[in-house]
Amino acid sequence: MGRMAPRMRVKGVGFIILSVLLLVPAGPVPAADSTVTISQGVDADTLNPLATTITPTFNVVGHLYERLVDFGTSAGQYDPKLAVSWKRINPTTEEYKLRRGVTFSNGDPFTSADVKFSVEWIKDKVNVSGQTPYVRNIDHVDTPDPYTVRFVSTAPTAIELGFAQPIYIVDAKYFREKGNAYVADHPVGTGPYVLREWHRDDQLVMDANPKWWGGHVAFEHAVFKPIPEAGARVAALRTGGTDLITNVPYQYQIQLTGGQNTKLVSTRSYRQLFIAFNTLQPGPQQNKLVRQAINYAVDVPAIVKNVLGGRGFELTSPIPSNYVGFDPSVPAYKHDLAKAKELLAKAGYPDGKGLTLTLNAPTGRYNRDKEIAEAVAGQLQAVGIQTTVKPQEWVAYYAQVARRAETPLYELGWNVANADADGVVSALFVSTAPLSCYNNPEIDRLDLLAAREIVPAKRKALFKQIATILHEDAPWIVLFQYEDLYATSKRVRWQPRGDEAIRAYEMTPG
Amino acid sequence: MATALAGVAPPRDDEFAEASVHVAALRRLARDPAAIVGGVIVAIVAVCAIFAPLITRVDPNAQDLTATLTPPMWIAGGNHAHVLGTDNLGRDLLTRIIWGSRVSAIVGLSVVAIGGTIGVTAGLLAGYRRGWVDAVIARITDVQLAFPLVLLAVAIVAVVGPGLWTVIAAIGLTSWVQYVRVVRAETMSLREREFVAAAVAAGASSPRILARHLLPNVMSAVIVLGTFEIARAIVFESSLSFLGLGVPPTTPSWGGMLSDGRQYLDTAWWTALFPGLAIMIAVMGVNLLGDGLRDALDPGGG
Amino acid sequence: MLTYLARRALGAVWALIGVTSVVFIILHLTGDPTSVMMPPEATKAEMDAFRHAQGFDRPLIVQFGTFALAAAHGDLGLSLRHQEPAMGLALERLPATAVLGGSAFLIVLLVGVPAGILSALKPRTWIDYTARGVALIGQSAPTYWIGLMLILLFAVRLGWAPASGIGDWHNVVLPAATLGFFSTAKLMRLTRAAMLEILGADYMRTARAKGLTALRVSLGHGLRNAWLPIVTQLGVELGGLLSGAIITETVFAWPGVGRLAVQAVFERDFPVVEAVVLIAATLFVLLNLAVDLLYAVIDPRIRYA
Repeated sequence: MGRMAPRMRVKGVGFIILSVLLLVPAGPVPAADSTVTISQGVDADTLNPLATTITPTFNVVGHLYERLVDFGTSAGQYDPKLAVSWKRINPTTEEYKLRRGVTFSNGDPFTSADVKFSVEWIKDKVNVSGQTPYVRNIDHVDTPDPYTVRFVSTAPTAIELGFAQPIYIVDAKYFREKGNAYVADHPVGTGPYVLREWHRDDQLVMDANPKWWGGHVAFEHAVFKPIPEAGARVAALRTGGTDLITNVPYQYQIQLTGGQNTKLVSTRSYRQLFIAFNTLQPGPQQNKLVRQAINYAVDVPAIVKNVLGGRGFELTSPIPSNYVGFDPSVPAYKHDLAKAKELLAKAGYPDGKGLTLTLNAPTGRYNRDKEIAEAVAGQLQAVGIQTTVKPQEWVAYYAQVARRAETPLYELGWNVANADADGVVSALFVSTAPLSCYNNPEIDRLDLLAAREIVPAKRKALFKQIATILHEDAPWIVLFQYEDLYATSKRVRWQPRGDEAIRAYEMTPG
Repeated sequence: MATALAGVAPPRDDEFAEASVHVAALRRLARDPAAIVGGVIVAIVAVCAIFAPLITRVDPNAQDLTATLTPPMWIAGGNHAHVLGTDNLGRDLLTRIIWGSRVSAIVGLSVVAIGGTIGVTAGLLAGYRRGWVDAVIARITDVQLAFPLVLLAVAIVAVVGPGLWTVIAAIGLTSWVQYVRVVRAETMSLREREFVAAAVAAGASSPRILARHLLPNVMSAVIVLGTFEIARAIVFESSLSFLGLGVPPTTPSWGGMLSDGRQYLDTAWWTALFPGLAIMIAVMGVNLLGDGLRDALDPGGG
Repeated sequence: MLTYLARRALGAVWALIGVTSVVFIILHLTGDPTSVMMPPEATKAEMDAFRHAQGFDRPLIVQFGTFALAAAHGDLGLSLRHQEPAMGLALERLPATAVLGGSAFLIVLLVGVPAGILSALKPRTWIDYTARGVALIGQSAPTYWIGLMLILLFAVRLGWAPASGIGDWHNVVLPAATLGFFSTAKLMRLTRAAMLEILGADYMRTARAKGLTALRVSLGHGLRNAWLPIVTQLGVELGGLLSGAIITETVFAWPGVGRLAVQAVFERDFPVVEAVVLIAATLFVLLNLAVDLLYAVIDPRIRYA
């Protein structure tokens, strides 16, 4: 069965009925050798890049639309896209010079008015965009001329506003004319591809944009074909139904590495998985000694090795070593059962007696989320702590975590696309953050300083102070970062990125 | 199912005759080889469920991260410590399957208890009272029937949060409607019979008539239906696990094991095969017993 | 007949109102989708503003009133996730589910019924035992397990059929077989039982004694009687296929209504769930009506008044 083989004509009454019923995608079919097919777990929810907040959708719209500046392949590195240069004019104003001669796929020229419109569209309450947190620090956007924009913030920010968040630029004129419902599935952007057709949950086909400023792409056609079930995704790749699959379960690594037309590619993710203690709720987890003991009791390397098949990286601090703001001199917890038992006894729980905890975890949200929670519970059992795992589907789980309710221990994953320590501290440790179950005025103070500190060396020192406090106080069980596993067919050459982004224009025939 | 069961239980006019008919039915059951196989399977599952802690001394939640995905003992790499091998966290599969029979038994029986109680009561009332009672019950039944069951169960689990009893409630609340249909039809025809008229004439109250005269006569049909509902509940539990809404993992369940194991179908097949076989064999046993019961209680029909 | 139809229509409307109301209340009790529609770093104030803009902070009864009023005018609202009319999104996927359900139903009809008849005509032969054995398996294995096994065997090992997705008829075979397995098994057993009953009836024994022609005539009569329970069950099974499609579509990445429904429930995309449930309930009601009318065709003694 060819990748996009011509539909077969089938004889027989039953199948004629079927063919009639089957609304097959019409239109000419691209040749297989110039097409790359990508299978994520879910389809894009919308093609309006200003209305979504989920990675799989960003991966699709990232082909159709572009940002001023895109995340580079390593932390702290940024690539110019629709902006060619930028500078700070003063602590609260940054100026971007825009690329000239760029047009949207409908022929409209790209100018500073489009940038201003895109930011304001998100801010406009009428549009109910989930992206409002992305633009919270932007006070307003100035457009001195068609090829210059200035982002003005209320307070100085360490990272440029134009970089920090995935704000895609849309065609202001087109958006105003067509309205929100229409643009949601009729995308017009400046990106390297344009949409040919979209059959939801079936496939989304894109053709190379001949007018793209970036020039020629290796694959003329890019297809997104979502497959929810991991095993089915692997089967589709092995049978030639797709060229690239995400979230490969590690146990397939041998088959896919040694496969006839498949290969495994991986990268260290920016996403870390951790288990937080709810220090705001009464319970044994409010005792620092218990928290430290548990950190010693958990054997992270064993979990990475056996539950993730070795595809993970043990972390020493909530600020991962591939983030801006990491400092290797901050002390870390190493697996040490004797020390764990000693601390437990000191805390008043000799051999873990009388210590029962519930560990809440999401199911199906992060790679192996439930199994990792079970493994941690198993290791706590080994020092005598009775731990019950309570897995829940995401929305119900998240609602509970966001209420900071009844969760002595809870598991979460965290990914900061620009790999900056502030993305961890401000969202997960600062007392006012909705996902923080920790209250330490010193951390609040230090993080505010760090967020506004423009001098990198001073910023790094602030994060070192933060990391040292977090080590001593142990509000988390620090676990690991994932190694993201992808598999591709041998006809595609591609290097994955830490921010989980997939870009067909970064692929070449292999 | 409703039509197949209509006429399963020939109404009997007095309770002594009833008893002897049941004895005869049991005799017929004992001569049906398929039903015996079913009965033996059900008995084995029941023994496992009741005596799990005595049959195996191993803690079903005991992990061994150094021995994950150990193959069964008769395959290279396997050993006698883990007869059927281990799962992705190094837990002993055989132990978990033995303990898992508990969940299946509890789910199956509780679902039948919940669904049966609601359904039989509603069916008796609807069939006996008729009029507005029947109309109201019929309307509620219509709503329930028109509802995609899986969606309803998913929604219930999402509202209440995960747990063994949530799963039971979710499946139970989707199963009552089957009983209503069968019991209502039976009751409708029974209430026209002389023995009911006689009881009414003798001044028996409605609850008494329902409980003493009608209920025993619909029980055969209910027992047969209940058996099949047990089977359905066991399979349904595993479907909920597939959607991530099953029993929490610290309570070993076949559905949960199968759902976890499905990711290893291609690499460590035993983690999916054995729980799958456990479900299939148990359900098959229950179904065979159900077939036998139906034939035994209704010797005339097919 | 007309009054009958009117009464059925009234009952159907009631069922639809009941179903949508129950769904509305249950789903809204489970929390709103703000957490899946905003990035996780959103502050409480940002989330509250979003809730307010979406109207999630209004009392449930007000939300229900607004919904009911709009729904009565045939407007279920925009999907929260997709920002497009919910009903349109669901209807768009209906053809795919219809193909899957229709193919599965064909399998049920073309495999289940003949196997049942054959099995009844040749009791206690290898045909009978094989058919009954396969049926027992079909009735006892979870749908998703069968699906994954079929993918592994026929797609990965043998390469006879694609593993997932929609396309030409090759793609339909595995998911349809998966979806139809349970119902096929049930139908086979039911048909067998119905046939055995008829073959055991007195007039059939007489016909047999009289010779082949008479037997054929009686078999015709017998089949007509057997059709009643079979048709009832087919109706029930077709309704059940809709429910089963939820899991089959997820396993096989089939772009149908069932997969949409599961996603919508997990994302709390209320309007889409309502749309799917409404469609499913309508189909169910229509199906039941069709079955009842079919009764009258098969058995002229049945009259509706």
